[in-house]
Amino acid sequence: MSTERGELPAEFGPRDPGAVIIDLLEDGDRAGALRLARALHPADLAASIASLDTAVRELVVHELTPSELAAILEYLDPHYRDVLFEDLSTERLIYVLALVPDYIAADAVQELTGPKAARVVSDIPATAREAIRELVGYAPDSAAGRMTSQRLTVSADLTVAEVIETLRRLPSTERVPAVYATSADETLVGALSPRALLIAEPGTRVGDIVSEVVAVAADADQEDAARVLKQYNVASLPVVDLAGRVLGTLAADDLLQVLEDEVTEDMYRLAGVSEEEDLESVSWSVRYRLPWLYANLLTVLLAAWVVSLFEGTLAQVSVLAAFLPVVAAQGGNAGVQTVTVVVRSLALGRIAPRHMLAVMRHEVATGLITGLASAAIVGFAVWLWQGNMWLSGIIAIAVTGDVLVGVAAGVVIPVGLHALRQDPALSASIWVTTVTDVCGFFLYLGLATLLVTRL
Amino acid sequence: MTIDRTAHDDAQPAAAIGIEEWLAQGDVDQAVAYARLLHGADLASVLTGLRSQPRQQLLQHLAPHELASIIAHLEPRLRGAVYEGRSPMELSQLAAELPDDLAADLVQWLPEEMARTVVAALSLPVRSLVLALAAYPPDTAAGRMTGQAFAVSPSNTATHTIQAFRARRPEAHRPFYVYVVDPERRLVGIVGLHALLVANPETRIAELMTEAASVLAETDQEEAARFLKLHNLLALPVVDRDGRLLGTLTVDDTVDVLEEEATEDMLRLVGVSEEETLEGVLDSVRFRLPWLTVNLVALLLAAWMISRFETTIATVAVIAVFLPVVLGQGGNGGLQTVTVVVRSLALGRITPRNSLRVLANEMAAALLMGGVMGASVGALAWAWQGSLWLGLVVGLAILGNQLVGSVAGVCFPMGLERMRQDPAVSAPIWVTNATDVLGALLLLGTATLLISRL
Repeated sequence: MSTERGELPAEFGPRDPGAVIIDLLEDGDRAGALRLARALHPADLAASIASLDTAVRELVVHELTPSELAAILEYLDPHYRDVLFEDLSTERLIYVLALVPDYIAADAVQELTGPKAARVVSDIPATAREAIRELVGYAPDSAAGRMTSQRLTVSADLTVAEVIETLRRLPSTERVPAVYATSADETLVGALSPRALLIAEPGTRVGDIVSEVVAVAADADQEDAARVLKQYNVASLPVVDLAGRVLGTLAADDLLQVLEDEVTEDMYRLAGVSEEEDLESVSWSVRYRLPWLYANLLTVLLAAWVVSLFEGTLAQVSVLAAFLPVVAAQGGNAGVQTVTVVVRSLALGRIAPRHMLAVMRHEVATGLITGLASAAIVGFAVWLWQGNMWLSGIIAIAVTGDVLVGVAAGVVIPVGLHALRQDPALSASIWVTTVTDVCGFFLYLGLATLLVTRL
Repeated sequence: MTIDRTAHDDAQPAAAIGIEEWLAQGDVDQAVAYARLLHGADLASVLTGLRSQPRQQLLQHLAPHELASIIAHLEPRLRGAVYEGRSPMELSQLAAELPDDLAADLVQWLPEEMARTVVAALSLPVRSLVLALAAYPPDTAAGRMTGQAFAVSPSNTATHTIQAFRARRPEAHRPFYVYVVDPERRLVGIVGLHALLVANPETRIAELMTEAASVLAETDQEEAARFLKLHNLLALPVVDRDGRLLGTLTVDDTVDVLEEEATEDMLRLVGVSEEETLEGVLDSVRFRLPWLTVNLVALLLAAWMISRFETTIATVAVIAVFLPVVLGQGGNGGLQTVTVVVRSLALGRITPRNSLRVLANEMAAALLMGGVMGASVGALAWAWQGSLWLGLVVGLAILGNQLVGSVAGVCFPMGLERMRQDPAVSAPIWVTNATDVLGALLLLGTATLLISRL
């Protein structure tokens, strides 16, 4: 039994097992590293693979047996699962896929391309092929795409003893995620938890002890399925077709992954980074980040154009240039705060587009106070520094105005994108900072041009 | 009975809109009657979407036993709203109906005086269970666990265990495993309920059990949640220092923990508190203003840097036009890096030991992106202003500042992590501060050196 990560032999102490394996590899002790990798719980080895430690991955890919690899795949983050599929030789991959749960094998078939995919599909054992064929028809991000088709459906008219007998005859009970009772036309009646089966009298009709169950449609989005699971606090969800027949099961641990992926996606998208990033491939990072930076560049050039309209004023009063970043950035910062709260609140279901007015009132009031407070500090600092009341007044007004612009844009843009059924995280922050840059510079340099004789 | 859900299920927003409208029209009875028809989970979702005033109005009309079915489905942050304004009598009734871990949370939430009254009104066995749980800090594994775990001795037979299970009737949605303990209640293994169900009646538990992963009581809740997720478990046993079984942390609690931590990270990156509800203006100001003020000081530092080059700007005013471009792009690039690094640290994909690898990759990416962007903006500046030198100055400043952003974007969060600070809290401020000040220095400094050419 272990309380820290992993079942590490005592002599290694509480160190990260991945680090120990790497140290051994660096010392040239490949056999020792392999021995330690085999001693670890597959979940801990999976955690070491899902990091930058490519050396561990290389060791695992080349040295472990197919059944050891299959055990690891069950615990591995889907992104790194795909990486392993790529790294494994075709022969080894086929052996491994015959041993993993069907949905993982189906993912591999969907993910691979070219001759490798063709070989895998043609050479995999027939029993596994059937289950995979059923699953690859569903979109990978749908409820059915994430489910395992392993489930047990029993007639609601059977007795408890008969169901237990059926369970006993299954080759392995480890893999039965849930038992569902169905009516004569195969539609779902309810779930049979092992608890209910244990407690009930053997002669009871199972239709009388089923628990109410929430089902998701096969084509439901995986994120919606994950939210249902979270909302109802259940350990698994049956996936049904339009007629209400059970197709498979979604387990809590898979959906936990979905929820985590969703958060990563929102966070990354706010900053224009792809959720596929793993900090390993430079070209991958560049491919995803550069378009966003370019889109941003266009908007920053728009801001630069606004500044150029006032070049005459800047040439006359060059100190104005010093406060350009202050005005625009403060408005942008306030706007990005609002965008982040709004995006997260939309994702958690705390607000909906119909609340836009209430949220707007809140943000404008907040913006007014934070804007005035920021303006007071900047205005005072500028007055002390430059000794010009007019200059400090202009900057104070511009900062307040731009913070208000920022918070308003921070509400309207993500809520608008959400109402248009677009991902509010996708580009909201670009638009918000564009608006604050352009409006901020106009306000600041416009006022300065009007009052240029006082400066 | 099943409730089918589809991708864009409009029934739930409809329920929320209906309830909201009835409340707005003052038809509270109608709203309450409708709310009573909903499943606890659906009502919890409706309550989450309501503004605080109608939410409170609705909650006041629900009885303690009705509230009990909602609480488990409600985000922990909103549970306080349910307890607010309730009498000790009602709260005791509520606590008696709740699972032990939620009752303990309720007790912890209440002011001391009130908590004592509520606890005193509970039945003796419930009271001791709740008090034991309430003694643990709320953000640890023990603070999140339920004290109920069905435990048996390894020498029991399967039949005996099933009989004991029947007699105990553990709570419906909690038991996923049978825990095997020695006479000192030290955890020695677990048995899945399925395995128990199909086992030969005379089999000893010792033969059925498998090794159990567990966490210590004082383990941080996020670490425990990640452990459970990593091991694909439905419930994780929590033990004390001697290995004695204290309770279990279940997968539904884990979902809450991971969601809370993610929200916290996301909001902290931009200086917003996880307590924000988009309702109390003063609360929002209190949380957001300090971050904005610190940022402001950083911006004034950049302003000071620019003012050092006032004569350059007076000579070549057009250089000021490119300030926002250089500063903005450097900051954006830095924020991309910070976001990836903070999240990767949280997910355990990188550790401070990988710093150099990450830094090298990020700098290579910045070099590529900065090169491409610097070239395009430089060319644009050249075409627009007809000065090749201006184009060069602007292009180099963009490239240089992209590198500054990548270095700062790796070093600040990694450094904060190494100093055991939350890397999300202030890393972006430091990063944009670095890109603002150094970006201005790069652009205006080179311009000053080459002033005769511009």
